[in-house]
Amino acid sequence: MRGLLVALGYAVLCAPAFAATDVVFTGNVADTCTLAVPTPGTMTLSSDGKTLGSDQALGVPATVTVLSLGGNSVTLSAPSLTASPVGYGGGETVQMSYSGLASHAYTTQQQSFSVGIIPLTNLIINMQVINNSGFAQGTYTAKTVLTCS
Amino acid sequence: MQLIPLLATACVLALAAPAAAQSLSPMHNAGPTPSDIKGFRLAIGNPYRTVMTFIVLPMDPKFRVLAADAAINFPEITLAPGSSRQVILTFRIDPARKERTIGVCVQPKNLASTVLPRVCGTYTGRRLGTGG
Amino acid sequence: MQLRCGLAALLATLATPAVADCSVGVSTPGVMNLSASDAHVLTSAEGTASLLIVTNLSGLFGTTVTISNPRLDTYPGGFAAGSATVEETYSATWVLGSSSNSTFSSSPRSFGVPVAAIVTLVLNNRVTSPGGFKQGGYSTKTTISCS
Repeated sequence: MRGLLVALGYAVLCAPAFAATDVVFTGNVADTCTLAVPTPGTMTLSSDGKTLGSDQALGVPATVTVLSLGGNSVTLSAPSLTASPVGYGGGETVQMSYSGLASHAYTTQQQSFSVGIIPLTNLIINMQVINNSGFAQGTYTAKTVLTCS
Repeated sequence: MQLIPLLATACVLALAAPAAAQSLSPMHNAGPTPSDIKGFRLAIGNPYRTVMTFIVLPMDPKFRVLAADAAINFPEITLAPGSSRQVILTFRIDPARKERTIGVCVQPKNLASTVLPRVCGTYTGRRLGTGG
Repeated sequence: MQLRCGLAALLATLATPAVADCSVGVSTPGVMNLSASDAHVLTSAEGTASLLIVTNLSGLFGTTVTISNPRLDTYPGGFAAGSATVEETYSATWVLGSSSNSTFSSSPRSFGVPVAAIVTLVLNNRVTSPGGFKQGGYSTKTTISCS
């Protein structure tokens, strides 16, 4: 009996090693947001002379392309008139609308929306300056700041 | 009434601006510093087909105003199509505070458009040994 | 007495299963990158595959090398790990032989190698997340063993 126990002990102690190794793969992901403005946008005057807008005849909305890798958000600042000719009296209302990646009807307020992982996607933005007193001759610039963060 | 056709011409903003594009990576980062200065390395990219000049601005975490005591080593960079470049953000952390968060925004330098596109990120530095 | 001990030792040895001996060395750790064509996939096929050398395969009747099911080991807070799928492919070669499976799978796999072979094993891992990946570091783990 003792001999059998010794033999079993010998067998266990001398059993070959069982090898195993963990293989580790690592990866690092960085948030990225890419913006492009292939079409800068054009405003033209309405037939009644009270609205400058990209949705008027011969006007062109701005197109922004957005590529996002991660949980980012897009903010459009409240639109404003940033340049006007000498002699212009002010008193305008500036508003924007957008469609495509997200949608909103004409608004004067800042807007925000979330974007997750999206391939290159268009956001089409219309801009409108309304003034019942009309517009003096010259060049006008209206703008919104689009921030991806 | 005669003014309208003149205004219609004058008000066209059809400036043939080149397509503007930029990317920023990473958009968020945080790390410790043994001193009161913290730095981060950021990559600015121009993934499109035209040469572009971007300005890189250190700002507050809400991206509203320029940040004090913060700098970018190359605040204006011109990139070839499809290229990217690293810039270094450095900022000072008030010794009375444990940490500070800075925003960085990348935007095209000259773009005539109804939209000004900018990509912004936030970066936090923490002072070591302050129990934070 | 001596004859009984010797016989007992022989019987014990015969009764013990033939367990193979092998050594596994990792030459190149794997690195995963976001797929250029699909940002929902993190894969070493677009990064760096892991290269391993398996040696000292001394099983009398050959050895079975087993690649465990890969699992997600570390990930940033807030990542939906429960909905992520982790998969692997492998390619193994030795003198006068090979085994491979280039179809990504989340199941364990195994292959037999002849005695005394030195096996070069190339592994790829990938993670697929329907909701994408939060910014941060990720790691997967696969266990290679022999029997």
